[in-house]
Amino acid sequence: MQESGRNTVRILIAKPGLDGHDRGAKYIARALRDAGYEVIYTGIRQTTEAIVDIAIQEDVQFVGLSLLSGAHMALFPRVVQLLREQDADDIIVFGGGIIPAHDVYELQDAGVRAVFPPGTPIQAVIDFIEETRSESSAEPAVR
Amino acid sequence: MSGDARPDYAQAGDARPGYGSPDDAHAGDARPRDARPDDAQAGDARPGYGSPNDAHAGDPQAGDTHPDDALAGAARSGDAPHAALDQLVSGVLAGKPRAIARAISAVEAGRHERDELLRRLELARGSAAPPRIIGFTGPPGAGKSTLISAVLETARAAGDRIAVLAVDPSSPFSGGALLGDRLRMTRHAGDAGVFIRSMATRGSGGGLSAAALEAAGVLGAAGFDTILLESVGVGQSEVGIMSVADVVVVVLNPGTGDEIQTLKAGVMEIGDLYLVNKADLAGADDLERSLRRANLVSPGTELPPEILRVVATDGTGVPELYQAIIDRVTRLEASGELSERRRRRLSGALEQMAGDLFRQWIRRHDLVNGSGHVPFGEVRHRLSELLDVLSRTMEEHDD
Repeated sequence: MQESGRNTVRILIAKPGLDGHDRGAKYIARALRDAGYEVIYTGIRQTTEAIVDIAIQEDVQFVGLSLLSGAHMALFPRVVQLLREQDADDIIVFGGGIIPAHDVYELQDAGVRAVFPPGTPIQAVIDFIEETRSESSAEPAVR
Repeated sequence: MSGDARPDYAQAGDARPGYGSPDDAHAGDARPRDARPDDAQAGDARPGYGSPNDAHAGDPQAGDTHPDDALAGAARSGDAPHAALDQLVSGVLAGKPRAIARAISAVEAGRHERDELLRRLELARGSAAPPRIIGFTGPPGAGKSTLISAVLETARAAGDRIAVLAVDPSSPFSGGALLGDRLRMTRHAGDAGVFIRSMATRGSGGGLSAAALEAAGVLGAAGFDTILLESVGVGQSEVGIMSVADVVVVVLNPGTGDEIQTLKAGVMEIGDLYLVNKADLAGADDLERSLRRANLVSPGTELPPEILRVVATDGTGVPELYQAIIDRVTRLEASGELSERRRRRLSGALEQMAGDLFRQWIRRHDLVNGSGHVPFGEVRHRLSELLDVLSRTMEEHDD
């Protein structure tokens, strides 16, 4: 049994929409596992609603969305919005995939906290998680 | 395809706010040509991006729009833990997914409020029957997750609320885990009558059994009467986690070894139901025959184990399996063997918890006392003295 009270960071890696290219998502899922996080992977072609349901049931602190199809401007903000509707906006959303640089700002304005393009060193993602993990409420208080 | 994008991305790490690590937000002096006008202040202006602490500074949701926020905040600072716990308990009892999920996290992490939380959930549940816990075990690739997804379908068609606890291993090296069981259950997302939770083994079999039992308690209090517990599928720890279940289903495949494999000790001694999954494949008859010849017995019951054929991918045999599981529980209940099993598992869980506690204590106090060569006999002696004190204290506690 682990030490009492220690918080393990749980992260959902999800692929919304119709894009079936999951190498990036699988790579990041595995790399985050190796970094000591508990990673839940949804598999390809999930609806935004399903992703939000899974994030809540799994009590994750982070949702990482991977998309290479170009639909990120529709789907990423939708996940943020659905989390907000479920009173789960303390769950931090980040994204990755083929995201044009000029879209990044708009995504950030929509509540996607960080976007990691191809070629991002995994350490950058880990640094992001470590610096933001304290924001996501760790106590099991429920609104 | 991404050839055009490369030049941009090459420098993205240091130039773009939020484009690599959070630190980069502050490094935003060398901005690329296409920087937007407001980029100069991006580091400060973007809520939550600058420093981890001002995340909600500009977020309308984080203000006092939620009346309960005050409670949650108070709980965090330790002022009113009871209010937060009240809320968690009532949320679980009302079947709210977020509350259920957080309560499971609390028991899983062994947080301080766990005992009180569980006690109050049990009180609220009163004399209602505890949830049925159905364990699914079997070698990796046997089709446990796919089968569970098919069982969920059957259960939902019958109108039953049903939950899944899917256990996958934690890495002994990094402590991390990749939890992929629900990959095969995603069609049930969005159904309020289904709750699926992945659990990592987090190191030890003992702690896991207790955590799974407690998570099942939370789900039971939330109105899930049937809980499917999916295990890792290998090794001796299987027998431990499966001791949590009321009924154990062992999932097997044709073509995975000769008759001798089915006679091996361990997993083949704990089943109530043995499944020939992928029964449409060659070799299914052979496997079924060797199972029937193996004179299998189930633990703690006179009932012989049942042997069934299923094809999880198309649902063949799954309604019959679900019925067989329910019948098995009913028969074990009627004979009193189920409550005997539950008593035994509670006792086992207690022993494990006590063992974990004692191990932690020993680790903290370092009986070996640091440096140098200490003869084993000496350590044994210290331990014996310690156990003497402990047993005297326990005797006094009894009086």
